[in-house]
Amino acid sequence: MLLTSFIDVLLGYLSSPLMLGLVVLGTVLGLVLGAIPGISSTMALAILMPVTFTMEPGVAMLFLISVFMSSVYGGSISAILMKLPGTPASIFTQIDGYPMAQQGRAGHALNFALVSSTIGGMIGLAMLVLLAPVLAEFATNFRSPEFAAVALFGIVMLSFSSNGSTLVASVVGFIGVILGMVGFDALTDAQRMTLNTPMLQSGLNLVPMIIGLFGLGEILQNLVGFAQTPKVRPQIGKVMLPLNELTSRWKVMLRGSVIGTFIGAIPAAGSAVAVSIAYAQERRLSKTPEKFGTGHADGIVAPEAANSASVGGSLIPLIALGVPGDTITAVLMGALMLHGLTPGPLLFANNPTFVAWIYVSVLLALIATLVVGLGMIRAAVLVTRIPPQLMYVFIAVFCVIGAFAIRNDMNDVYVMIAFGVVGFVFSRLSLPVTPMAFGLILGPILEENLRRSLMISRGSWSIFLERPISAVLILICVFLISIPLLKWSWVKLRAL
Amino acid sequence: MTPPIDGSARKTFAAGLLFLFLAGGGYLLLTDSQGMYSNTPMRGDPGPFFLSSLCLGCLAVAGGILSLIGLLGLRGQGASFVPTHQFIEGVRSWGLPIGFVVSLLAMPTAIEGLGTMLAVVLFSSIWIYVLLSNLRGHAVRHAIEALIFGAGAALFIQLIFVRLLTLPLPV
Repeated sequence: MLLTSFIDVLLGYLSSPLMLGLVVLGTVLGLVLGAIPGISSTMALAILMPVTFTMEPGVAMLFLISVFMSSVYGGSISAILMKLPGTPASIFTQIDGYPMAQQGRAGHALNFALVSSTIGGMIGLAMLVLLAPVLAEFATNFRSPEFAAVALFGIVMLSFSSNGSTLVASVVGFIGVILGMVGFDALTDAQRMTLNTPMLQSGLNLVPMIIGLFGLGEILQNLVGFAQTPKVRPQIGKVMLPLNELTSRWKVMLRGSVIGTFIGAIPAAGSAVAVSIAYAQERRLSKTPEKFGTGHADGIVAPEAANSASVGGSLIPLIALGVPGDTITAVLMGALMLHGLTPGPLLFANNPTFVAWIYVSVLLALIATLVVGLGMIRAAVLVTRIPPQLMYVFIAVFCVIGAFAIRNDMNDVYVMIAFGVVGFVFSRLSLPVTPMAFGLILGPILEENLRRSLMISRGSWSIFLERPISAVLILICVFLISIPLLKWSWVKLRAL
Repeated sequence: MTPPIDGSARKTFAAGLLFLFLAGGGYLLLTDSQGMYSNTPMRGDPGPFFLSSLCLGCLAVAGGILSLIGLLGLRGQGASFVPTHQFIEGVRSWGLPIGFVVSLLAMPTAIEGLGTMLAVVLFSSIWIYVLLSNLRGHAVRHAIEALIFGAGAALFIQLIFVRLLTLPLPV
């Protein structure tokens, strides 16, 4: 059934010039935005989401996934050429990519990054195709207590993997949960935090909040200490690599891809964690670890393969459980919900076409990134010369028009600006904003399933501990939240 | 005890106050909603305000603890004065984002009053000029560049959002 849908969708997309044009457009936009320092993949996706409002869901997915996949590689362009990572996950690519560019081999470095990114993405996609149905099949046995536990696990896991204190990040996640509850309650029709105003009664719209937090918030943050980016004139040199230079690194690509997929599949672990582990692992296994940091190709191949593979990994919990794997899949989930699509375990049985859309979109986006990326290697230098200040202003305009486009309502523009300010203030105070986005998405799932579970058990909280999966997930959450306390107690005990 | 946010007592104290402020605001809104609600929840259901009250409680407790840790840290550090030039630099660096937000808040009114194209040209040109001159100093060339880019941005919005996506943006 799924295979038939996959082939149908693939043939449909390949035979449509409009679809192919859209993939190329999404890929070029993703590459350009990803390459500009200060514009992350999440921001690229958030600001381009409004463009898809009038599109069919499948077409919208194709466009957004093309932007997503290509921006992952795009981040490495400025990392290699300017030592300015376009996205947080490309921090490790710059360590060896920039020295290679300094040696006049920027073309080779970009080629290594592109090819390993494509291969990593393909391996991630293969894992997604293999593992997502298995996890979804397993999750069909999930009932309200398990879904409530999975939602809580997602929020706590993200808080744990955020920079800084887990407890503080969890509290930020709770702010998201509270905001997600504004409006009418689905079970009792009670109004919550609405002040009886029509604007708040329908709840806060997710998209302007996401555009504000990740789009405008980042621009405002970039405007503080605003300074000229260094003028770098890198030499691209030769572009094409001898084939044996690539084939001899298949083990490095495979290791990076496997690490990327599995780390990416852990809810909230994210590509930055996957990339750092892949780089550290490769350096540890290398016969010449001292060459890492001086322009070693393995130092580009491993993190790039892991980075791209983590996309497939992060889509596994999204498709199978309806829980985003990281920030960017949280934004993607927001886009899906906007088009009336809710991912989850029953998706494979009820809507295989939707799953096929995602698989085909990832596949085509990877191929397009390889083709367009190879063609754009010489032009990459031009991308890095786009003054960021021009892009900030343009993106701000895009945020305003995009927020308005959601419901043709100027109130959404004010919501977007308010959340932009929230994102900015939180960043200034070193508070993570991603848990808030997770709370916004997972909060309603958590609340609905928590209350349903308690209604089933007639108010007994033991229902969450009686069912093994929810019990294990809740115990993990408790453990993760108590780690700071355990650490503190350990330090005190040792001091005695 | 080391302040949990970046090891900075100032940030920890500010974050604590922010959490307390949000918890207080949320509590007032929730009390207002509870006043409007008269139904009885089903058996076992903790009610529509349970999770929000719980989260607000956590927020308030966390806010209280953080502000206390921050305050103790600040007292430990003693009073410190920022040199005037650093203070001016700080205000200047915050001026750009504050001005940006204020002009963005005026955008919806400008769009409705002047039309989308003109509002976008105005906003983009002014801000590109401000940012360019902030980096390279005032020059007529920058004003021309800013105008050209502003017009380009408006044209793009007109083509994509008004023509292609047929959004009912004020013309």
